[in-house]
Amino acid sequence: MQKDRQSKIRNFSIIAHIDHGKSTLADRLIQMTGQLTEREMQEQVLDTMDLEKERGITIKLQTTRLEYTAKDGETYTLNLIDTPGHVDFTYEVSRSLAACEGAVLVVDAAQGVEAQTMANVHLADEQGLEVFPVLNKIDLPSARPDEVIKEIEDDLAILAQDAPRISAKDGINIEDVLERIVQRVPAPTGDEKAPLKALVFDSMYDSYTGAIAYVRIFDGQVKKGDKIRMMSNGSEYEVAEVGVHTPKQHKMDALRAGDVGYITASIKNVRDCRVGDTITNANRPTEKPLPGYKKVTPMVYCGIYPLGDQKVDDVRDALEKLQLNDGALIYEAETSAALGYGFRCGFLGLLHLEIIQERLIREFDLDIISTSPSVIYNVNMKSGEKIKVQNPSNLPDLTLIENMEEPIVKADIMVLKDYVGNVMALCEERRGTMLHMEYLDEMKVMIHYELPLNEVIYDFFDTLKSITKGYGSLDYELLEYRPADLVKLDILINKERIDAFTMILHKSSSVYRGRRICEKLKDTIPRQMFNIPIQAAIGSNVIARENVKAMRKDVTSKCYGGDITRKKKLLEKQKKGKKRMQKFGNVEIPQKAFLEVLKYDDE
Amino acid sequence: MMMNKEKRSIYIHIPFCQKKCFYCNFRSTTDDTLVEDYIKGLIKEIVLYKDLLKTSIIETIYIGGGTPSFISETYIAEIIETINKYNDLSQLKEFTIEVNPGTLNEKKLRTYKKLRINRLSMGLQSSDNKMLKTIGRIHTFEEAKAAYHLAREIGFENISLDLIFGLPGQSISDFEVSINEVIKLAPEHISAYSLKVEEETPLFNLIKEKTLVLPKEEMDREMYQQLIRLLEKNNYHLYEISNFSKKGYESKHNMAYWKRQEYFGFGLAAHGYLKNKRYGNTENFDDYFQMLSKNNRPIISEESLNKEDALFEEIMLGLRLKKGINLKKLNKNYAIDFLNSKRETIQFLLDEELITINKESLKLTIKGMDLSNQVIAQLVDYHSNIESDKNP
Repeated sequence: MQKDRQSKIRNFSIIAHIDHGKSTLADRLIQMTGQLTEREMQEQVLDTMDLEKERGITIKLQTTRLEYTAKDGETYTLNLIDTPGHVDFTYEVSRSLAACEGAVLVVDAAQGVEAQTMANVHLADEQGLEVFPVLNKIDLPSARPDEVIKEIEDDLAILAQDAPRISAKDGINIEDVLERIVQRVPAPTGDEKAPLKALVFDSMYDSYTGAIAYVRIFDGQVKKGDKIRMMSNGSEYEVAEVGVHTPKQHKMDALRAGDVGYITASIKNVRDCRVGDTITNANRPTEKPLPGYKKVTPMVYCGIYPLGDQKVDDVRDALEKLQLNDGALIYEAETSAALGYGFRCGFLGLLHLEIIQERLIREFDLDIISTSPSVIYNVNMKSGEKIKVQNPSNLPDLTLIENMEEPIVKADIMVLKDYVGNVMALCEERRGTMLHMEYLDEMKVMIHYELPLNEVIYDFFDTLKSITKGYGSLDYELLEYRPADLVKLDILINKERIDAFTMILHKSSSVYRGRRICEKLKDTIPRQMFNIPIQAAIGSNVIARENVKAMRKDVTSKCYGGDITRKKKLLEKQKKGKKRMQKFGNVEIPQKAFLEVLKYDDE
Repeated sequence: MMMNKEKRSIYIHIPFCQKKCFYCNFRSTTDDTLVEDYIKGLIKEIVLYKDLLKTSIIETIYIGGGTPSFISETYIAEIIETINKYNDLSQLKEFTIEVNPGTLNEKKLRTYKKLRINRLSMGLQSSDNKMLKTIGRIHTFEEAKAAYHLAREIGFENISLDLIFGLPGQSISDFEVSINEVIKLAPEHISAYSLKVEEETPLFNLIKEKTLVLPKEEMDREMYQQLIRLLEKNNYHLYEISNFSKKGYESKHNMAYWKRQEYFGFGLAAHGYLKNKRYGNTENFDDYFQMLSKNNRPIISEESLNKEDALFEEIMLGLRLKKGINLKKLNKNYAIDFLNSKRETIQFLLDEELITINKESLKLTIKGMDLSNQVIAQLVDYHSNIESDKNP
């Protein structure tokens, strides 16, 4: 009986390179299976964050349950677990995949196989998933399905001859995909009678219900009133509600082996609802937890500080809430001489950092500024002590340092062969060492590089995209730490060192970078009533300088017809403009200046 | 019955011009078919204020534009007669009309004189004919001089001439020529404005497409300093950022603005300040007529001033004057200790030589005048305690 029930369940993910149409396909599947009315069906239902819709990428994963009556006459429950598509979010992809038995691999019929396609297939293989391909955007004039099929078979060793050829956008051949899911994705085979074993693959915080755990039940069952235990720390809760997403939250009597759904249990402490944890029944616990997820370690750090009148507590609250469903984000309090109280935050990569920044600004309506991003450096002191530095301004005096080590990543970059020269030039400029290069087919080349991470975090990805006309794709992982000739670059504004701008970088690029930063600051800091010298210095040695010339004239010479109100409004606007700036001594620096410094270059 | 009468001024706006100057973004039209209806409207508007007019002591009237001298002098007479119905104007000390030298004639001037207009404000702008053409003026310098002398002959003893500097392609010596020509004419009052290029003016586009090039800021400021030097040498005293006069000829009407006295504002886009309320009239002709046809005042914006607003204005307006703000009065009227409450800002402004303080007055230096918007923005900001509220 229970085997029979599970035989009608399919748990699957959709994996794809960014922009290949994963979210559009997900929307179509929901629409086809009639879960939402036309009115409720907004574009890309699963991307719930504004930011996601705007950027066209999925950051947070979402799940939804579909009911599908297949051609064999049986009705199946298809649980779709959406996955993010960007290089920074590999960790989140692995979380969702662990909850599935199969994955639909979406490949753009024009773009073909890309770096993230390969990386995701690799992840799915690691989880032992059944992967089958789908060719999307088949209606594009530039579609080349036959070649792309060959790419999939050659590069990924996945049979693709009979892959459904679809257009998710226009709803062409979507039913083939649903049929394929039923046929190809294995049904779950858990033991309903065994002790509860549920994997938390995501969590969310709700101010009414507490943390909501998104779970895949592997064995056993769970219902309202059950006493559950979080196996990582032993904390116990009573289940308040279980249910599924359709994609709206829908209450159920129980979740059983094979099901995907949610559990609420008045979990007020978010740390008790960690992604990767196993939930079991407290009265009848399972012996061994499910294998945990890959532990994430942030690779990029930066300081986030309240700006102007913004309170530091508001920033803390917002970070805490974001952390609930973003296990990869970490933060701790720190102080800056220039910026006061704030937080040092750790991220998976620069995109992750940008997204957190934007979410803080948009969703929480905060005025913040971020300091220059940094990686973690190993510092070997002359005293023999070894320390790790993630905040450049905490770097000890150079005379006390024996040497420093920086993290090196192994980067896999896939490009069309026409752009190989550009990519190599970029990687050389960023101190890369080429390992090898392989032709995947006549057009595509995979280049393997070793790159210092601190070179990758300064808009390497954006630059890669622009020098390859958007075709270049990147995947990277940490390799090791290596000694490097690093220096600390300080920025002085009006002769005061602004610690928020301090960065650690390789000596070879320090003069150039210092000069560029000074130029950029000169362009973004508005003229004020006095001259503002801007200097870049290594130790006491000034390597670059610029000057923001004093404003000479800002006067309303005429008040037309006694229009006092207009003049008043102008002044009030001027006053307001100052609020969006951070004051250092007498110098006002706009938020934008802090963002500009992060950018590597724009020439 | 004795009534408590208050001193008030009157501003009347005439939004018509023969031709729009290239730098002007002010409300005016060249469509003279509207003039008659407009004057009817204006008269109706004045009538709507009759009670308040009756209880006011009118010391100054200013007819501005646009170009008030563009329309027939009989219209001006009608307006004055209307006001006269409700106020005998017996206390009138200064009555100014703005005139464009290209629109003046003897008949107009004689009528003005009869109407008790005792001050002319003439837009001369420059003594360089090429420059006048570049900025779209309708007259030459020679015509302006002729109009000026004519006014003198007819007996106008208080004339103000307007100059604009920082004009496209203008050099410092070009401007000196204009200043010296004006000094030769010996008017009682001189207003000199630094050109401000407003969006949506022909000049804005010409500069954007680089057909015309403006002098650099530094040069503009040198012109201003040269202006002050030359005029002071010839006994014209800078009494407000843009205004100079011979002793005793400061514009009473403008002074009333700076001193926050009340005034009626009549006409399209006019602004007024009555019963502690600042108000602005509609800038749209149709709306103006429409509102008046329903016997409503054509006001579209209104703001009552609280103590904080008043203080804001006091600082903003007071600092425009050469003599600055009277600190003793300010502290007393607003129950504050101005210098102490803004200690750090004041120190900074003193260090940068933007203001000076002696005994009772705080005033802008010349450099402070150049940057007056910046300085004022700092001094009126009462809520910028950044350091203290950032700690957790």
